Amino acid sequence: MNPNKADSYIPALAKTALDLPPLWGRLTALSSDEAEFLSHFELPAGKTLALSFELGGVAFEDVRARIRTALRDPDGYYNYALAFTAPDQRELLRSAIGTQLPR
Amino acid sequence: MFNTVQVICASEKDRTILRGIFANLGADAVFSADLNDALAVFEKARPAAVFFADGEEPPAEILLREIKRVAPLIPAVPLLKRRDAERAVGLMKAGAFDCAQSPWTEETLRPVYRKALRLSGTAIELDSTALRSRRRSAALALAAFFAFTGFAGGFYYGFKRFSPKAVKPHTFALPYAHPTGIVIKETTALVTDWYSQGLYEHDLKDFSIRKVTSLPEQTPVAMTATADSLWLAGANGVLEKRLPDTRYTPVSKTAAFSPPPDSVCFDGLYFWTADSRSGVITRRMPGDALTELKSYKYPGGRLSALTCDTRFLWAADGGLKALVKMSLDDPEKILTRKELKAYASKTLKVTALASKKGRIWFAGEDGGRGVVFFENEPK
Repeated sequence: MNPNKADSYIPALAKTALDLPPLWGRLTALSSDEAEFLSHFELPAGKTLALSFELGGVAFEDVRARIRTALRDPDGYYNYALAFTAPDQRELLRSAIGTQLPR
Repeated sequence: MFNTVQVICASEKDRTILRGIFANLGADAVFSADLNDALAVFEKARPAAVFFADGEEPPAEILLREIKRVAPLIPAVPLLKRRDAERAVGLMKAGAFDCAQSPWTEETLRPVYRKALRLSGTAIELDSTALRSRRRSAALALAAFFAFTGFAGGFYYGFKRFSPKAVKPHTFALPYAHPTGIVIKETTALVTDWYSQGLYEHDLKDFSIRKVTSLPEQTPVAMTATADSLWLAGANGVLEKRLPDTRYTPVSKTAAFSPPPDSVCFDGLYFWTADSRSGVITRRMPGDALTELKSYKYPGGRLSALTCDTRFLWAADGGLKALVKMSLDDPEKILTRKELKAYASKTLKVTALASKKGRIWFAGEDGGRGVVFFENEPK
Protein backbone atom coordinates (compact mmCIF):
# COMPACT_ATOMS: atom_id res chain seq x y z
CA MET A 1 0.00 0.00 0.00
CA ASN A 2 1.30 3.46 -0.80
CA PRO A 3 1.69 5.79 2.16
CA ASN A 4 -0.40 8.95 2.30
CA LYS A 5 1.38 11.82 0.66
CA ALA A 6 1.07 15.52 0.28
CA ASP A 7 1.16 16.83 -3.29
CA SER A 8 4.68 18.13 -2.68
CA TYR A 9 7.30 18.19 0.04
CA ILE A 10 6.18 20.63 2.71
CA PRO A 11 8.55 23.61 2.98
CA ALA A 12 9.57 24.42 6.52
CA LEU A 13 11.52 27.12 8.26
CA ALA A 14 13.69 26.10 11.16
CA LYS A 15 15.01 28.29 13.94
CA THR A 16 17.93 26.98 15.91
CA ALA A 17 18.83 29.90 18.13
CA LEU A 18 17.83 33.48 18.55
CA ASP A 19 21.22 34.73 17.52
CA LEU A 20 21.45 32.61 14.38
CA PRO A 21 19.55 33.16 11.16
CA PRO A 22 16.80 30.68 10.46
CA LEU A 23 17.33 27.99 7.87
CA TRP A 24 14.96 26.13 5.62
CA GLY A 25 14.24 22.80 4.13
CA ARG A 26 11.39 20.41 3.47
CA LEU A 27 9.51 17.87 5.51
CA THR A 28 9.77 14.55 3.70
CA ALA A 29 7.72 12.68 6.29
CA LEU A 30 5.41 13.90 8.99
CA SER A 31 3.43 12.36 11.81
CA SER A 32 2.16 13.71 15.07
CA ASP A 33 5.20 12.42 16.93
CA GLU A 34 8.05 12.73 14.51
CA ALA A 35 9.17 14.08 11.17
CA GLU A 36 11.93 13.85 8.63
CA PHE A 37 13.44 17.15 7.63
CA LEU A 38 15.56 17.52 4.51
CA SER A 39 17.84 20.53 4.26
CA HIS A 40 21.18 21.46 2.80
CA PHE A 41 22.07 23.22 6.05
CA GLU A 42 24.14 21.26 8.52
CA LEU A 43 23.01 20.85 12.13
CA PRO A 44 24.25 18.53 14.87
CA ALA A 45 22.18 15.67 16.29
CA GLY A 46 20.61 16.50 19.65
CA LYS A 47 19.94 20.11 18.75
CA THR A 48 16.47 21.48 19.28
CA LEU A 49 14.65 23.21 16.46
CA ALA A 50 11.55 25.31 16.19
CA LEU A 51 9.81 24.44 12.96
CA SER A 52 7.32 26.58 11.12
CA PHE A 53 5.31 25.15 8.27
CA GLU A 54 1.84 24.90 6.81
CA LEU A 55 -0.25 21.81 6.63
CA GLY A 56 -3.55 21.85 4.84
CA GLY A 57 -3.95 25.62 5.23
CA VAL A 58 -3.09 25.50 8.92
CA ALA A 59 0.08 27.34 9.89
CA PHE A 60 2.22 25.78 12.56
CA GLU A 61 4.68 28.11 14.21
CA ASP A 62 7.67 27.14 16.26
CA VAL A 63 6.87 23.48 16.67
CA ARG A 64 9.63 22.26 18.93
CA ALA A 65 11.53 19.21 17.82
CA ARG A 66 14.77 17.54 18.75
CA ILE A 67 17.16 16.17 16.15
CA ARG A 68 17.49 12.46 16.88
CA THR A 69 19.74 11.58 13.96
CA ALA A 70 21.38 13.48 11.14
CA LEU A 71 22.41 11.65 8.00
CA ARG A 72 24.03 13.21 4.98
CA ASP A 73 22.88 11.82 1.67
CA PRO A 74 25.07 11.41 -1.46
CA ASP A 75 23.82 14.75 -2.83
CA GLY A 76 25.08 16.62 0.23
CA TYR A 77 21.67 17.17 1.80
CA TYR A 78 21.05 16.33 5.44
CA ASN A 79 18.20 14.06 6.48
CA TYR A 80 17.21 14.90 10.01
CA ALA A 81 15.02 12.57 12.03
CA LEU A 82 13.07 14.83 14.33
CA ALA A 83 11.02 14.04 17.41
CA PHE A 84 8.40 16.54 18.42
CA THR A 85 8.86 17.35 22.08
CA ALA A 86 5.81 19.38 23.06
CA PRO A 87 2.74 17.24 23.82
CA ASP A 88 0.28 20.02 23.13
CA GLN A 89 1.84 20.68 19.72
CA ARG A 90 1.76 16.97 18.97
CA GLU A 91 -1.96 16.93 19.66
CA LEU A 92 -2.50 19.87 17.34
CA LEU A 93 -0.49 18.10 14.68
CA ARG A 94 -2.45 14.91 15.15
CA SER A 95 -5.67 16.79 14.71
CA ALA A 96 -4.44 18.59 11.59
CA ILE A 97 -3.09 15.44 10.02
CA GLY A 98 -6.31 13.62 10.82
CA THR A 99 -8.27 16.12 8.78
CA GLN A 100 -5.88 15.74 5.86
CA LEU A 101 -6.00 11.98 5.59
CA PRO A 102 -8.69 10.22 3.57
CA ARG A 103 -11.40 8.63 5.68
CA MET B 1 23.12 11.90 -15.43
CA PHE B 2 21.30 14.45 -17.59
CA ASN B 3 23.08 17.62 -16.48
CA THR B 4 21.86 20.51 -18.60
CA VAL B 5 20.63 23.35 -16.41
CA GLN B 6 19.33 26.74 -17.38
CA VAL B 7 20.54 29.79 -15.48
CA ILE B 8 18.67 33.06 -15.69
CA CYS B 9 20.76 35.99 -14.54
CA ALA B 10 20.84 39.58 -15.81
CA SER B 11 24.07 40.56 -14.11
CA GLU B 12 27.14 39.89 -16.19
CA LYS B 13 29.23 39.73 -13.04
CA ASP B 14 26.96 37.12 -11.45
CA ARG B 15 26.86 35.14 -14.70
CA THR B 16 30.62 34.96 -14.68
CA ILE B 17 30.64 33.67 -11.11
CA LEU B 18 27.88 31.18 -11.80
CA ARG B 19 29.46 29.99 -15.06
CA GLY B 20 32.59 29.02 -13.16
CA ILE B 21 30.63 27.34 -10.37
CA PHE B 22 28.41 25.27 -12.67
CA ALA B 23 31.40 24.35 -14.82
CA ASN B 24 33.15 23.05 -11.72
CA LEU B 25 30.01 21.13 -10.75
CA GLY B 26 30.10 19.42 -14.15
CA ALA B 27 26.86 21.02 -15.29
CA ASP B 28 26.13 21.98 -18.85
CA ALA B 29 24.78 25.44 -18.03
CA VAL B 30 22.75 27.46 -20.54
CA PHE B 31 22.66 31.12 -19.57
CA SER B 32 19.89 33.57 -20.32
CA ALA B 33 19.80 37.24 -19.49
CA ASP B 34 16.06 37.42 -18.85
CA LEU B 35 12.81 35.43 -18.82
CA ASN B 36 11.96 36.00 -22.50
CA ASP B 37 15.39 34.88 -23.54
CA ALA B 38 15.09 31.85 -21.25
CA LEU B 39 11.69 30.80 -22.58
CA ALA B 40 12.96 31.16 -26.14
CA VAL B 41 15.70 28.60 -25.65
CA PHE B 42 13.82 26.49 -23.11
CA GLU B 43 12.39 24.03 -25.68
CA LYS B 44 15.76 23.54 -27.31
CA ALA B 45 17.80 23.30 -24.13
CA ARG B 46 15.43 20.95 -22.30
CA PRO B 47 17.14 21.64 -18.98
CA ALA B 48 16.90 19.32 -15.99
CA ALA B 49 16.59 22.30 -13.66
CA VAL B 50 16.34 26.08 -13.79
CA PHE B 51 18.37 28.34 -11.55
CA PHE B 52 17.59 32.03 -11.47
CA ALA B 53 18.94 34.97 -9.54
CA ASP B 54 16.63 36.56 -6.99
CA GLY B 55 16.33 40.28 -6.61
CA GLU B 56 16.18 41.14 -10.30
CA GLU B 57 13.38 42.06 -12.68
CA PRO B 58 10.95 40.43 -13.02
CA PRO B 59 10.57 39.29 -9.42
CA ALA B 60 11.39 35.68 -8.57
CA GLU B 61 7.68 34.90 -7.99
CA ILE B 62 6.84 35.86 -11.59
CA LEU B 63 9.78 33.93 -12.92
CA LEU B 64 8.65 30.91 -10.95
CA ARG B 65 5.10 31.21 -12.21
CA GLU B 66 6.17 31.46 -15.84
CA ILE B 67 8.64 28.65 -15.59
CA LYS B 68 6.05 26.40 -13.92
CA ARG B 69 3.55 27.33 -16.61
CA VAL B 70 5.91 26.13 -19.30
CA ALA B 71 7.31 23.17 -17.39
CA PRO B 72 5.28 22.39 -14.24
CA LEU B 73 7.50 19.58 -13.04
CA ILE B 74 10.89 21.12 -13.58
CA PRO B 75 12.86 22.01 -10.42
CA ALA B 76 13.27 25.77 -10.20
CA VAL B 77 15.87 27.09 -7.77
CA PRO B 78 16.04 30.77 -6.85
CA LEU B 79 19.53 31.96 -6.03
CA LEU B 80 19.01 34.24 -3.03
CA LYS B 81 21.33 37.20 -2.79
CA ARG B 82 21.09 37.10 0.99
CA ARG B 83 20.12 34.46 3.50
CA ASP B 84 16.43 34.95 4.13
CA ALA B 85 14.69 31.85 5.41
CA GLU B 86 11.20 33.34 5.30
CA ARG B 87 11.62 34.37 1.68
CA ALA B 88 13.09 30.98 0.88
CA VAL B 89 10.12 29.19 2.40
CA GLY B 90 7.77 31.59 0.62
CA LEU B 91 9.39 30.85 -2.72
CA MET B 92 9.30 27.15 -2.01
CA LYS B 93 5.59 27.44 -1.29
CA ALA B 94 5.28 29.23 -4.64
CA GLY B 95 6.84 26.26 -6.33
CA ALA B 96 10.59 26.60 -5.95
CA PHE B 97 12.40 23.36 -5.43
CA ASP B 98 14.81 24.89 -2.94
CA CYS B 99 16.69 28.13 -2.52
CA ALA B 100 20.42 28.63 -2.59
CA GLN B 101 21.70 31.31 -0.27
CA SER B 102 24.38 33.87 -0.81
CA PRO B 103 27.31 33.80 -1.11
CA TRP B 104 27.06 31.59 -4.17
CA THR B 105 29.88 29.12 -4.04
CA GLU B 106 30.53 25.68 -5.38
CA GLU B 107 30.04 24.23 -1.88
CA THR B 108 26.68 25.89 -1.28
CA LEU B 109 25.33 25.17 -4.74
CA ARG B 110 26.52 21.55 -5.07
CA PRO B 111 23.83 19.92 -2.88
CA VAL B 112 21.07 21.99 -4.42
CA TYR B 113 22.30 21.32 -7.95
CA ARG B 114 22.62 17.60 -7.37
CA LYS B 115 19.34 17.28 -5.50
CA ALA B 116 17.52 19.30 -8.17
CA LEU B 117 18.21 16.57 -10.65
CA ARG B 118 16.09 14.17 -8.62
CA LEU B 119 12.40 14.62 -7.28
CA SER B 120 8.23 13.36 -5.02
CA GLY B 121 6.08 14.44 -2.06
CA THR B 122 5.89 14.50 1.70
CA ALA B 123 4.69 11.27 3.23
CA ILE B 124 2.27 12.17 5.98
CA GLU B 125 0.87 9.87 8.62
CA LEU B 126 -1.57 10.37 11.45
CA ASP B 127 0.56 8.18 13.67
CA SER B 128 3.99 6.87 12.78
CA THR B 129 3.53 3.85 15.03
CA ALA B 130 0.59 2.91 12.84
CA LEU B 131 2.84 3.16 9.79
CA ARG B 132 5.45 0.96 11.42
CA SER B 133 2.76 -1.44 12.53
CA ARG B 134 1.40 -1.66 8.99
CA ARG B 135 4.86 -2.19 7.58
CA ARG B 136 5.49 -4.88 10.18
CA SER B 137 2.15 -6.49 9.42
CA ALA B 138 2.86 -6.39 5.71
CA ALA B 139 6.30 -7.90 6.26
CA LEU B 140 4.85 -10.59 8.51
CA ALA B 141 2.09 -11.32 6.01
CA LEU B 142 4.66 -11.57 3.24
CA ALA B 143 6.87 -13.82 5.36
CA ALA B 144 3.87 -15.92 6.32
CA PHE B 145 2.88 -16.21 2.68
CA PHE B 146 6.32 -17.40 1.64
CA ALA B 147 6.55 -19.68 4.67
CA PHE B 148 3.16 -21.17 3.86
CA THR B 149 4.07 -21.53 0.20
CA GLY B 150 7.35 -23.20 1.13
CA PHE B 151 5.68 -25.41 3.69
CA ALA B 152 2.90 -26.40 1.32
CA GLY B 153 5.38 -27.10 -1.45
CA GLY B 154 7.58 -29.12 0.88
CA PHE B 155 4.61 -30.91 2.33
CA TYR B 156 3.29 -31.74 -1.13
CA TYR B 157 6.72 -32.89 -2.27
CA GLY B 158 7.20 -34.92 0.89
CA PHE B 159 3.73 -36.36 0.65
CA LYS B 160 4.32 -37.41 -2.94
CA ARG B 161 7.84 -38.59 -2.24
CA PHE B 162 7.51 -40.43 1.01
CA SER B 163 3.91 -41.43 1.45
CA PRO B 164 3.30 -45.12 0.83
CA LYS B 165 1.51 -46.06 -2.31
CA ALA B 166 -2.20 -46.46 -2.03
CA VAL B 167 -3.12 -49.89 -0.84
CA LYS B 168 -5.53 -51.69 -3.07
CA PRO B 169 -8.77 -52.42 -1.35
CA HIS B 170 -8.92 -55.90 0.06
CA THR B 171 -12.51 -55.88 1.16
CA PHE B 172 -15.31 -56.12 -1.37
CA ALA B 173 -19.02 -55.75 -0.84
CA LEU B 174 -21.13 -58.31 -2.61
CA PRO B 175 -24.47 -57.60 -4.26
CA TYR B 176 -25.95 -60.60 -2.45
CA ALA B 177 -26.06 -61.27 1.25
CA HIS B 178 -25.55 -64.98 1.87
CA PRO B 179 -22.26 -66.23 0.42
CA THR B 180 -21.44 -69.81 1.39
CA GLY B 181 -18.49 -70.90 -0.71
CA ILE B 182 -15.52 -69.30 -2.38
CA VAL B 183 -12.97 -70.53 -4.91
CA ILE B 184 -10.14 -68.34 -6.15
CA LYS B 185 -8.89 -68.90 -9.67
CA GLU B 186 -6.23 -67.05 -11.64
CA THR B 187 -8.23 -63.94 -12.55
CA THR B 188 -11.63 -64.68 -11.14
CA ALA B 189 -13.34 -65.68 -7.94
CA LEU B 190 -16.32 -68.00 -7.73
CA VAL B 191 -18.78 -67.41 -4.93
CA THR B 192 -21.94 -69.35 -4.14
CA ASP B 193 -24.94 -67.79 -2.45
CA TRP B 194 -27.46 -70.05 -0.80
CA TYR B 195 -30.34 -67.60 -0.70
CA SER B 196 -30.28 -66.72 -4.38
CA GLN B 197 -29.06 -70.24 -5.27
CA GLY B 198 -26.50 -68.77 -7.60
CA LEU B 199 -22.89 -69.22 -8.54
CA TYR B 200 -21.28 -65.87 -9.16
CA GLU B 201 -18.08 -65.34 -11.10
CA HIS B 202 -16.28 -62.13 -10.07
CA ASP B 203 -13.36 -60.30 -11.60
CA LEU B 204 -10.57 -60.55 -9.06
CA LYS B 205 -9.44 -56.94 -9.64
CA ASP B 206 -12.57 -55.17 -8.51
CA PHE B 207 -14.94 -58.00 -7.76
CA SER B 208 -17.36 -56.94 -10.47
CA ILE B 209 -19.63 -59.75 -11.56
CA ARG B 210 -18.67 -61.42 -14.80
CA LYS B 211 -21.19 -64.24 -14.86
CA VAL B 212 -24.05 -65.63 -12.81
CA THR B 213 -25.08 -69.26 -12.98
CA SER B 214 -28.37 -70.25 -11.40
CA LEU B 215 -28.48 -73.44 -9.32
CA PRO B 216 -32.23 -74.07 -9.10
CA GLU B 217 -31.94 -77.63 -7.87
CA GLN B 218 -29.43 -77.06 -5.15
CA THR B 219 -28.94 -74.82 -2.17
CA PRO B 220 -25.17 -74.47 -2.04
CA VAL B 221 -23.60 -74.26 1.42
CA ALA B 222 -19.96 -74.92 0.50
CA MET B 223 -17.74 -75.13 -2.53
CA THR B 224 -14.25 -76.21 -3.53
CA ALA B 225 -12.37 -76.98 -6.70
CA THR B 226 -9.93 -79.58 -7.91
CA ALA B 227 -7.87 -79.42 -11.04
CA ASP B 228 -10.69 -80.67 -13.25
CA SER B 229 -13.89 -80.20 -11.32
CA LEU B 230 -15.95 -78.08 -9.04
CA TRP B 231 -17.57 -79.50 -5.88
CA LEU B 232 -20.68 -78.00 -4.40
CA ALA B 233 -22.07 -79.06 -1.05
CA GLY B 234 -25.82 -78.78 -0.70
CA ALA B 235 -27.89 -78.03 2.35
CA ASN B 236 -29.09 -81.64 2.21
CA GLY B 237 -25.57 -82.96 2.85
CA VAL B 238 -25.01 -84.07 -0.76
CA LEU B 239 -21.82 -83.00 -2.56
CA GLU B 240 -22.12 -82.51 -6.29
CA LYS B 241 -19.23 -82.81 -8.68
CA ARG B 242 -19.51 -80.47 -11.65
CA LEU B 243 -17.42 -79.75 -14.70
CA PRO B 244 -15.76 -76.35 -14.88
CA ASP B 245 -17.54 -75.53 -18.15
CA THR B 246 -19.75 -72.58 -18.85
CA ARG B 247 -22.83 -74.24 -17.36
CA TYR B 248 -21.06 -76.13 -14.57
CA THR B 249 -22.57 -79.36 -15.81
CA PRO B 250 -23.24 -81.86 -12.97
CA VAL B 251 -21.21 -85.08 -13.19
CA SER B 252 -21.87 -87.02 -10.02
CA LYS B 253 -23.25 -86.80 -6.51
CA THR B 254 -22.30 -88.25 -3.20
CA ALA B 255 -24.64 -89.73 -0.70
CA ALA B 256 -26.00 -87.32 1.84
CA PHE B 257 -23.51 -86.86 4.63
CA SER B 258 -24.64 -86.45 8.17
CA PRO B 259 -24.22 -83.97 9.58
CA PRO B 260 -24.31 -82.04 6.32
CA PRO B 261 -20.93 -80.32 5.88
CA ASP B 262 -20.80 -76.59 5.45
CA SER B 263 -17.11 -76.43 4.51
CA VAL B 264 -15.29 -78.47 1.94
CA CYS B 265 -11.79 -78.37 0.49
CA PHE B 266 -9.26 -80.42 -1.42
CA ASP B 267 -5.61 -80.47 -0.34
CA GLY B 268 -4.34 -82.11 -3.53
CA LEU B 269 -4.54 -85.57 -2.02
CA TYR B 270 -7.59 -85.76 0.22
CA PHE B 271 -10.93 -84.09 0.56
CA TRP B 272 -11.84 -82.40 3.79
CA THR B 273 -15.30 -81.57 4.99
CA ALA B 274 -16.29 -79.77 8.16
CA ASP B 275 -19.47 -79.13 10.07
CA SER B 276 -19.28 -75.85 11.94
CA ARG B 277 -22.15 -76.72 14.29
CA SER B 278 -20.48 -79.82 15.68
CA GLY B 279 -16.91 -78.76 15.00
CA VAL B 280 -16.15 -82.06 13.26
CA ILE B 281 -13.54 -82.14 10.52
CA THR B 282 -13.53 -85.17 8.26
CA ARG B 283 -10.82 -86.37 5.91
CA ARG B 284 -12.18 -88.15 2.87
CA MET B 285 -10.84 -90.17 -0.01
CA PRO B 286 -10.90 -88.40 -3.36
CA GLY B 287 -13.45 -90.02 -5.59
CA ASP B 288 -17.05 -89.63 -6.49
CA ALA B 289 -18.21 -91.03 -3.16
CA LEU B 290 -15.80 -89.05 -0.94
CA THR B 291 -15.50 -91.94 1.46
CA GLU B 292 -14.74 -90.90 5.01
CA LEU B 293 -11.26 -91.73 6.25
CA LYS B 294 -11.10 -90.14 9.66
CA SER B 295 -12.83 -87.51 11.69
CA TYR B 296 -11.22 -84.95 13.97
CA LYS B 297 -12.49 -82.60 16.58
CA TYR B 298 -11.76 -78.97 15.79
CA PRO B 299 -9.28 -77.83 18.46
CA GLY B 300 -10.10 -74.12 18.47
CA GLY B 301 -13.00 -72.09 19.82
CA ARG B 302 -15.89 -72.02 17.38
CA LEU B 303 -15.32 -73.20 13.83
CA SER B 304 -16.88 -70.91 11.26
CA ALA B 305 -15.35 -72.09 8.02
CA LEU B 306 -12.58 -74.39 6.86
CA THR B 307 -10.30 -74.55 3.87
CA CYS B 308 -7.01 -76.16 2.99
CA ASP B 309 -4.10 -76.04 0.60
CA THR B 310 -1.33 -78.51 -0.02
CA ARG B 311 0.34 -77.63 3.30
CA PHE B 312 -2.19 -76.66 5.94
CA LEU B 313 -5.75 -76.58 7.08
CA TRP B 314 -7.07 -73.09 7.69
CA ALA B 315 -10.04 -72.26 9.86
CA ALA B 316 -11.89 -69.07 10.58
CA ASP B 317 -12.69 -69.16 14.27
CA GLY B 318 -15.55 -66.95 15.39
CA GLY B 319 -14.82 -67.75 19.01
CA LEU B 320 -11.14 -66.89 18.92
CA LYS B 321 -11.82 -64.17 16.32
CA ALA B 322 -8.79 -65.49 14.53
CA LEU B 323 -7.48 -67.37 11.56
CA VAL B 324 -6.28 -70.74 12.77
CA LYS B 325 -3.64 -72.85 11.01
CA MET B 326 -3.58 -76.60 11.55
CA SER B 327 -1.49 -79.47 10.29
CA LEU B 328 -2.89 -81.70 7.60
CA ASP B 329 -1.48 -84.67 9.48
CA ASP B 330 -2.89 -83.71 12.83
CA PRO B 331 -5.83 -81.33 12.51
CA GLU B 332 -6.45 -81.50 16.23
CA LYS B 333 -3.37 -79.42 16.86
CA ILE B 334 -3.29 -75.68 16.22
CA LEU B 335 -0.04 -74.57 14.65
CA THR B 336 -0.61 -70.82 14.74
CA ARG B 337 -3.45 -68.43 15.02
CA LYS B 338 -3.69 -64.85 13.89
CA GLU B 339 -6.21 -62.41 15.18
CA LEU B 340 -8.48 -61.12 12.43
CA LYS B 341 -9.09 -57.37 12.47
CA ALA B 342 -12.24 -57.93 10.46
CA TYR B 343 -13.81 -59.42 13.57
CA ALA B 344 -13.79 -55.93 15.05
CA SER B 345 -17.14 -55.80 13.34
CA LYS B 346 -19.42 -57.55 15.80
CA THR B 347 -21.78 -58.59 13.05
CA LEU B 348 -19.24 -60.41 10.88
CA LYS B 349 -19.98 -64.05 10.26
CA VAL B 350 -17.43 -65.87 8.12
CA THR B 351 -19.05 -68.63 6.09
CA ALA B 352 -16.38 -69.64 3.57
CA LEU B 353 -12.61 -69.69 3.18
CA ALA B 354 -10.18 -70.19 0.32
CA SER B 355 -6.40 -70.28 0.16
CA LYS B 356 -4.56 -69.07 -2.89
CA LYS B 357 -0.99 -67.86 -3.48
CA GLY B 358 -0.23 -66.85 0.09
CA ARG B 359 -3.58 -65.19 0.70
CA ILE B 360 -6.49 -66.45 2.71
CA TRP B 361 -9.82 -65.29 1.28
CA PHE B 362 -12.86 -64.92 3.44
CA ALA B 363 -16.49 -64.75 2.42
CA GLY B 364 -19.28 -64.03 4.82
CA GLU B 365 -22.06 -61.82 6.02
CA ASP B 366 -21.62 -58.56 7.83
CA GLY B 367 -24.56 -56.47 8.89
CA GLY B 368 -26.90 -58.03 6.36
CA ARG B 369 -24.48 -57.60 3.49
CA GLY B 370 -22.24 -60.10 1.78
CA VAL B 371 -18.53 -59.35 1.93
CA VAL B 372 -15.31 -60.85 0.66
CA PHE B 373 -11.92 -59.94 1.99
CA PHE B 374 -8.47 -61.42 2.18
CA GLU B 375 -5.54 -61.51 4.56
CA ASN B 376 -1.99 -62.39 3.81
CA GLU B 377 -1.11 -65.81 5.09
CA PRO B 378 0.48 -65.59 8.54
CA LYS B 379 4.05 -66.77 8.82
